[in-house]
Amino acid sequence: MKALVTGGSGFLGRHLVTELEARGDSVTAMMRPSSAARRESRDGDPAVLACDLRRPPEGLSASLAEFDAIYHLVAAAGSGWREAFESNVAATENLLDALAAAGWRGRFVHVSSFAVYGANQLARGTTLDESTPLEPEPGRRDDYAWTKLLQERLVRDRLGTMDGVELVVVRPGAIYAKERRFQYRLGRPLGEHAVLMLGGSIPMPLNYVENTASLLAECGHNPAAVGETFNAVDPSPPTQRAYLSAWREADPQLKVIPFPLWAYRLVARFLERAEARSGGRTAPPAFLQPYVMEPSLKRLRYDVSRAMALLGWEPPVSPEEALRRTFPPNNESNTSVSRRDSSSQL
Amino acid sequence: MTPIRTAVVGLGGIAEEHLVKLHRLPGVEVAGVCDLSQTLVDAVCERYSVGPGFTDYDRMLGETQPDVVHVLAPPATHVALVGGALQAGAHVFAEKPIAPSLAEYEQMRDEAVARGLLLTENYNYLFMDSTRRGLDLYRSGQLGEAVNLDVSMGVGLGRAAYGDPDIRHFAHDMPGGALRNFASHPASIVTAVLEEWSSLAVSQRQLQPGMPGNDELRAMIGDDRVSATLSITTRSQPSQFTWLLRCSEGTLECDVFGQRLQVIAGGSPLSKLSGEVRQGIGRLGAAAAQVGRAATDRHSYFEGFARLLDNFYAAVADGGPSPIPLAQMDATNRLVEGLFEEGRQV
Repeated sequence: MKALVTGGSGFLGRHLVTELEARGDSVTAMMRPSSAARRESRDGDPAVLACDLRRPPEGLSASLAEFDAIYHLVAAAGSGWREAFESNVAATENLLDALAAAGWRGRFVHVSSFAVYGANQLARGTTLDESTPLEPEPGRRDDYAWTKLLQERLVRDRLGTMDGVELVVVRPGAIYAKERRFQYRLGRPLGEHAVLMLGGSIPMPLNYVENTASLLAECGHNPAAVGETFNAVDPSPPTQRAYLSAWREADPQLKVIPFPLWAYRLVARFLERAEARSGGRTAPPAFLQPYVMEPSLKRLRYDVSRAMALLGWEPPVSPEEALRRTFPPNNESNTSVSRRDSSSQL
Repeated sequence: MTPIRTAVVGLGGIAEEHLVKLHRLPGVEVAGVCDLSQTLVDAVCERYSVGPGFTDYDRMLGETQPDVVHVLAPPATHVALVGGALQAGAHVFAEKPIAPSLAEYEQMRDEAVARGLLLTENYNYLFMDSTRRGLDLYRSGQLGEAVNLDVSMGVGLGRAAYGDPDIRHFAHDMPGGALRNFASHPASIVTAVLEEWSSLAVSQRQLQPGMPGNDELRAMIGDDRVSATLSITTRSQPSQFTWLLRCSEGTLECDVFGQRLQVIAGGSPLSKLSGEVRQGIGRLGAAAAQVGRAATDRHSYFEGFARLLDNFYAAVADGGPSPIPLAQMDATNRLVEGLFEEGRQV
């Protein structure tokens, strides 16, 4: 099978390329021209398609015709709404335009996000699964959630009317690995080696990157995946405290500063009321807005059974092994806590 | 009272600031928004509860009959867009830089003057409280005559927007590149004190390899009465914008981003001591105010912008003059042109 991975030089993209090649696919990694130029070519590397989807790329349609499957991973978070819009929505629109112009037929695996769910509307303890309604008020969420919602809507609207396209949507939770340890669901990063932990006992819907890549590859090959939507989240999600405890064992330098969730909520609600009282003349930063942050801080359950039941697929890395690989003992390359390491807000 | 009908053209990154501030302005209704991308237009209409949206500018002007048009598209488009708005009988609020050249600015200004309409360029930092108070004090004559002025702006642009190797920022198509995109801010402080000058010497350098264009500018401006220096760098962190005005009977020191103004006046040792105490209290107050702003207003950087818009819309409603006199816009655009003129460099 000939596969194209957009965002092929990114965190998830690199793992997906490896997974697809292990399955015997002929893989092409699409990446920005500057990333392609920086790349040191080695034997066995996938083919590269240098293309920046944020602007309508010339001649892309002709290049797409050869692929049996396209995995759409391009995304950006945390750089302002315009950057999020360009990377998540405009880039997707340009790719879809090129597919339509090419009359492309094949399997399109779209990587969405947990951010699209309306988690604010869920009661504590509710199980979040693929049937959970999408966010009803995207304008109140952060730039990432807003643009990922627009992106998924665009993909469904456009590909739904194209003959011969088999769409699969995968919504991963917080993707993690050794090179991406910090998660917004933990709280806030404080400098290079400290985390302000908001709460502590909230289960985090983590998804080890090799498990995400494995599910995406399965969705690209398994006929039962066509037309379906799957959440990608590991079984037995660890709490924030358990995750940070594993991190501290590997990196004793890490400082964890607990901050009670009730106190955080008190401050956030106070600022929210101040905003309402001022008639909207004040607006706290996103991390102090309850509607933005609550989806990450709500105590929910996560059902991971759908992909396993429908596809007969099992995550290849157990939660215990995933944590061990992320925080290996005597780790020689501890990565620091920084926003660059952080995953997108979910 | 009939609301003032406003239209916005160009939905780039700065559009959020305009739409949020317009939403907060009483008596103002956003009657239409326009950009080339239908997807972007739809998304902005949904996100900011505005509309209708257009991809055809002339159609927007015809259908919405706006009283005011905010022109936020790249500067190279301003002559056409501003001209269209003025011909439709609308006042114009334009983002800086208002034009890539002095000649284009003068063309727009002449059209606005001939039609009796307002044309205002966004010099928002002139309207920060600290700057406004300082300039009011200087104009009151209490500090005597101006002797010299140092204006310095350092912004850490990084590579994200201006140094993106895959997508060229529109600023690089203007003489002066990224520096010109910011020059009107410090230039507008200079022209608040010095409207004419007989000498102008400029030095520009590129200190950061790999960035397109120069990233540092230093200029000396003066006449036989007052001298000024203006410096801009686009690679310093944290971002700072300061000005120091020495007068014959006192000195003003203003931190524009930090929203702090110090008045250093002469006098007896006792009055100097009380001045120091007042400054200390002022610094504490400014620090507390900064914390408060950070917690309650993610747009606090643009505090002066809100005040400028208040004044601009008051002028529209009352038929009064623009809050930025045309003479100062003329001088600022002349100075900006001079800063980047061929052969001016020393």
